[in-house]
Amino acid sequence: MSVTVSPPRPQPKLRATRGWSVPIRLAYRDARRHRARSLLAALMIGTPVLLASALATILATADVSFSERTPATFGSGDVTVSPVVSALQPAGSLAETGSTGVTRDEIATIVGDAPRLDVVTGSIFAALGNEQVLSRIVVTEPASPIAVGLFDLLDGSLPERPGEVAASPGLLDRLGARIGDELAVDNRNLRIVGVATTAYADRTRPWLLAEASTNTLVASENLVDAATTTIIDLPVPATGRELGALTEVGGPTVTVLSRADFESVRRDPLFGQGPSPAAAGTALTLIIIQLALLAGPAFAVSVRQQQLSLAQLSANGADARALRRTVLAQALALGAVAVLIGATAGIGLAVLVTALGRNLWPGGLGPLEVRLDAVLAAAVIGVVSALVAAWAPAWTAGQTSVVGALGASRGSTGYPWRRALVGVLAFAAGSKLLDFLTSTSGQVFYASIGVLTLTVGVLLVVPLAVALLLPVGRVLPPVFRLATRDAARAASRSVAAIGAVAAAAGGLIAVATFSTSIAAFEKSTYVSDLPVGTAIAFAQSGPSGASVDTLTTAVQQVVPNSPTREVSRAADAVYTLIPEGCAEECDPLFVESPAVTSGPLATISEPARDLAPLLADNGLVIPSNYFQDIDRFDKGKATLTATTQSPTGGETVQSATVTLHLVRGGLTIGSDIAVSPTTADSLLGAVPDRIIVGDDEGVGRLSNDQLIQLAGAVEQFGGRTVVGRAYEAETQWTYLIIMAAAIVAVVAGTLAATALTLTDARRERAIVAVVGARPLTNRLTAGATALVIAVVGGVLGTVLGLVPGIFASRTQTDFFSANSYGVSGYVEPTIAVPWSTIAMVLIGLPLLLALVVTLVSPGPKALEGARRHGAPLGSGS
Amino acid sequence: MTDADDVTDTADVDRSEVLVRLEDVRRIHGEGVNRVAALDGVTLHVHSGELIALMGPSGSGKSTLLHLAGGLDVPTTGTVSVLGIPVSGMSRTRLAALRRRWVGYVFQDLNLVSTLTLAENVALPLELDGMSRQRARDLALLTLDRVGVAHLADRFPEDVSGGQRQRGAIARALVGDRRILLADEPTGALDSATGDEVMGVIRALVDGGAGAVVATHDPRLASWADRVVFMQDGRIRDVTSAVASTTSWPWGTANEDTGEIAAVTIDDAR
Repeated sequence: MSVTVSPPRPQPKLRATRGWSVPIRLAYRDARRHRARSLLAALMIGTPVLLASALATILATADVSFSERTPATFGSGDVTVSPVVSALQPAGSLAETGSTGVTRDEIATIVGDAPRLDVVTGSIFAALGNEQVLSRIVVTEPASPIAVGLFDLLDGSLPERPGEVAASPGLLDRLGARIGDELAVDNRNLRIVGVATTAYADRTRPWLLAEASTNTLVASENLVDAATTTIIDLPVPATGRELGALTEVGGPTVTVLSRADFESVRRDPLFGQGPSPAAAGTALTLIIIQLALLAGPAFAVSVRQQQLSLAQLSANGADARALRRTVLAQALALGAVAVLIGATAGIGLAVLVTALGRNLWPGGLGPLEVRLDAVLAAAVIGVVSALVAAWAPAWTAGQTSVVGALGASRGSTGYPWRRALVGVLAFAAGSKLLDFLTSTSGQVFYASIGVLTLTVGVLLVVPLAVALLLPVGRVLPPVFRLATRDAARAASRSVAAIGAVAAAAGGLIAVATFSTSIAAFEKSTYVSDLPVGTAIAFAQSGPSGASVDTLTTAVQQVVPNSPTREVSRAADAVYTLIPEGCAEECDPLFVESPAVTSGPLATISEPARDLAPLLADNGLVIPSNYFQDIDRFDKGKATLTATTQSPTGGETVQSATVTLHLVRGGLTIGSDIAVSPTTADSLLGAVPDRIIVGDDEGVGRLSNDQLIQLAGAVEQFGGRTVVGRAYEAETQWTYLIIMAAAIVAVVAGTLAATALTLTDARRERAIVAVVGARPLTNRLTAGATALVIAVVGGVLGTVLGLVPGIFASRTQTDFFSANSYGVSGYVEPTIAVPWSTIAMVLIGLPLLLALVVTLVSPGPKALEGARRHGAPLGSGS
Repeated sequence: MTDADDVTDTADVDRSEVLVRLEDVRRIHGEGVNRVAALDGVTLHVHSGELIALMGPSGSGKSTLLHLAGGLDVPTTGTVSVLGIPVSGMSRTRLAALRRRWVGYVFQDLNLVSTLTLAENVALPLELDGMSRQRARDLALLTLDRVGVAHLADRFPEDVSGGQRQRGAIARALVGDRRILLADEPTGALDSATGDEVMGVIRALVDGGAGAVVATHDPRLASWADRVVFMQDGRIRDVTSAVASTTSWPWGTANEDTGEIAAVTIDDAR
C-alpha cells in the first residue's frame, strides 16, 4: 500500500485579507448591479463630507490670520507704538510730541536711529459736489520702504504728491466718486489717484490715504480723533527689553506691538474659541448617528436583496463573520469612494466659491487655504458613519437562516415591547438628567449625555412605532395600508429611515423651541432705551460737532413736522451729591452733568412722567436704578456740588442745596439726574446740548426705519443719537442654518427611504398593478410611503426635540437683565412651543414630500415592471 | 371547499359569446439577432362557459398568450379583444379596470403582495375598485372558503405554505364577478388532490358562464378542459376536445426543457 503525503498548504501571506476576497467580490458585484442604491448610500455619506470640506476650506481662506495680517500692520517694520485711546489732538501736536504719548526723543533713546514711519489716522469731512461724508483718513508716506504691505492697491496708484489721495471702495461708493475726481477736504481739493484698502481702516467705510507732505491736513483743526502710530524698523528683531522700555515710557496710554510676537501667535481655531470637548463630542456623535441612519436603509435593502446569495454562501460553509463582511466590505468600499469624491468635490467647490468671492470682494479673502485636518476629519467621520450604518444590516446578514432564506420566509414579526420599554426608560432618564442639570449647574458634559440618552431612547422606540403600523394599516384604505404594511414588514429598512427623520426633526424642533422661546423672552422683556418712537439727538463738542440748531435742521429734514424740544445740561464740571446731614463718612455720589429742564424732559419717560412739580423749588430727580446704594437718596435734601479746574490749576466750587426725589424707573434722557434751570443757574449755568424728538402722547412717534434715518442724519452732522426702537425680532442666522440643515436631513431621509422602498418593493407594486391598480394608485402608494415615513419620524422627532428645547429655553430665559436700566433678576422662564415648526414637521413637509413623490414616482407598467423585477408571471416565454 | 355545483348554474350560460378573441396575433420580443417571435400568428377564441387548457413545452408561447389575453401585454401585430374591446386601444387605466373587474389572473408562485394578509390580497381588486373594506373582506372570506383557506385569512403569505399561498392567489383571481380566468400553472405548488379541488373550483366558475384558459404541463389537469390547445414555437399545433380523447393522448407530457413529448394516455393521467 502506498501512502501519499500531501505537502503542507502554504500559509497565506496577508493574514489581514484572509476571508475578505469573497465578501469584497460580492460587495463589488452588488454595488455594480444596484447602482441606484449604491449611489444613494454614497450620496448620504459623500454629501456631508463635500459640504464640510468646502466649508472648512472657505472659512480658512476667509479667516485672515494674524500672520497674514502682519504686513498690513507693520509694513516692513518690526514694532508699532500707538495710543490706546484716540484723543482729540491739538493742532500741530505731531511735530512736537508725536501723539502716541511717547516723544520721538524717547523712542530714539530706546531704539536708536532705526528708521521710523508715522501713520496718522483721524476723521475729517470729504465732499464731492453736494455729497459730504465723514471719512477716516490715513496720512503717511506710502513711498517709504517701511510702508511696503501697508496698503493693498486695487486700482490706480498710491498718492505720491501733495494733493493726491487714494480712496477706499466704501468712500467711492458713498460719494459716487471715481479715480480722477477731486474731493473737497478741509477747504482744499485732493485728487483721487487710486483705490486701496488698509488694515488701518475698515474697507467698507469711507477712508482716504493722503501723502504725508499734505501736512496741512495733519495740522487741521477739522481733523478729529487724530492719533499717530509709529512703525519702527529695527535692524534686528525687537528684544523684550526694548519693548518693555517702550511700554514703560508710554505707560498705560500706548500699545506696543512686535512683529515677532504677532507672527508667533498661532492662528485662530477654525471656529474661533470652539465648543467644549463634551459639546463637540455630542455633536460629532449625533452627526455620525444621523449619517448612519440616513445611509442605513440602503445597506438594509442590500442585505434583503442579497438574502438568497447569503443563504447560499452559508449553505456552502460561510460562517456569520464572512456574511457580515459582505455588508461591511460594501460599506467600507462605498464609504471610501464617497468620502474621496466628496472631499475632492468639496475642495473644488471651495476653489470656485473663493474665486468668485475674490471678484466680488477684492482683498477680502486670504490665499486659498485647504484645511487638510478638517477635510481628513470629515472623511474619517464619513467612513465611520458608513460602517456604523452597515453594522446592523451586517449583523442581520450574519444571522441569515439558510432554511428561512431559501424558503422565502421572513420569520415571525413580533412587537419589540422590551426594546421600546428600554427606550422609554432612557428617554425618561435623559429628560430627568437635563431637568436636573439645566436647573442646577448646567454642565455641558452631563447635558450632552442627557441629549444622547434622549436620542438613543427615541431611536429604541422607533421599532415599536413601526411595528404598530401593522395593525393600524388594517383599517386604512389600500393605498395607506400598502404603505404602512410595507414600513412594518420591511422594518430593517424603515426603522433606520424613520429614525433618521426623527433625529433630524428632533434637532429642528429643539432649535425651533429654543429660538422661539428666546424670541418670546426678548420680546416680553424688551425695554427700549427711550419710549418707543422717540429719540434724543446730542450735540457734540469740538470743531466738527453739530450745534443743537444744526441738529434740529437735520432732524426736520428727515422727519418733518415731528415735535422736537431742546434740552440743556448743566455746564461741564465734576458733580457730586451728598445727602444732607451726612458727615464725612458719607461717600459722595459722582454724577455727570445734570439735565436741565423745568419738567418737559420727564415726559419722555413713562415712570418719570410729569416731573415739573418735583423739579420746582430746587428739586433734583434721580432714578432709582442708576446707582447702587441709592436708598440713602430716597428723600430729604442733599448738597449738589460742581467743581471745575481752571487751566492754571485753580479750583472753582459751586454748591446748591436740592430736594431729592427718587424716581422708580428710568430717566431716559441720557443724564444721571435732572435739575431745574434755577438750580443750574445757582451752580455754573446750563448749555443747550440735545433735542428730544417725539413725545409720550404718540404725537410724532417714529417708526424704526425713521429712527435709523434720523440717526444717520445726525451722525452726518457730527452728532450722536439715542433712539427708542420698537421691538424687532432679529434674524438668528445660526438657528436658521441649523434648522435648514435639519429640514434637508428630514427631506433627504424621507426621500431616500421612499426611493429605497420603491426599489425594494417593485415586485409588490407590479403585482398590485397586475390585479388592477390604476397607475395613479401606484403613485399614490409611493406618496403614502413618503407620508408615513415623514409623519411617524416627525411625531417621534417632535417628542425628541421638545424636551431639550424646553430645558435649554428654561435655562436661558429665567434671568432678566436690562443693562441700561440696571434692572436684573430671576423671572419665570419663557417656554414657547414652536407650533408653526411643529405643523411644518407633522403636516407641511410630509404632505409636500408625498405630493412630490406622487408626482415623480413612476407607475410600473404591469407586465414590464413585474417581469423586470422578478414577479413570476409565468415560466414560459 | 364547497361543492362547485352549489354555487354555479350552467343552465343559462350562453356559450356562443366570445370573451377573449385573439386574431392572427404575433408578439415579437427583442430586435436584430435577439429577435424572438413568442407568438407567431395565433388565432384563438375563448367562449363563455369554456375552459381551455394550454399545453406545450417551455418557450412555446403559453405565458405570452395569457399575458395578451389578460391585457398585461399588447401584440406586435394582430388583434386581441377582451369582452369585445380591442386591448391595443385601451389606456393603462382602462386596462387596470379590466383586470380589476373581469379578468382574474393566477401566477405560478410567489404572486401575492407580501405585505398584505391573504384576505387583504383577495380583497385588493375589490377595494381598488371602490368597494368598502368590510364588504370586500366578506367576499374575500367567502372566496377563501371556496378554496379551503378561510382559516388562514389573516396570515401573511410568507407565513403559510406554498400550496396555501397558491390557493390564496386563486381566490384572488376568482373573487368578484370575474368573466375571464387566466391561470399559469395554477396547481404547480399543490398536491394532486388539492390540485383537483382547485380545478373543480375553476370548472365551477366556468360552468357559471366564465371563460378560462389554464396553462399546464399536466395532462391530468388538462382533462378538466373543454378544449386542449397544444402550442409549440409560438404557434398552435393542434386543438382537440379533451373529453373526446379519453383513450389516447396524442402528445403526452412535454418535457419542459427539451420539448420532447412522452406518450401517455389520458387515462394514465387520471
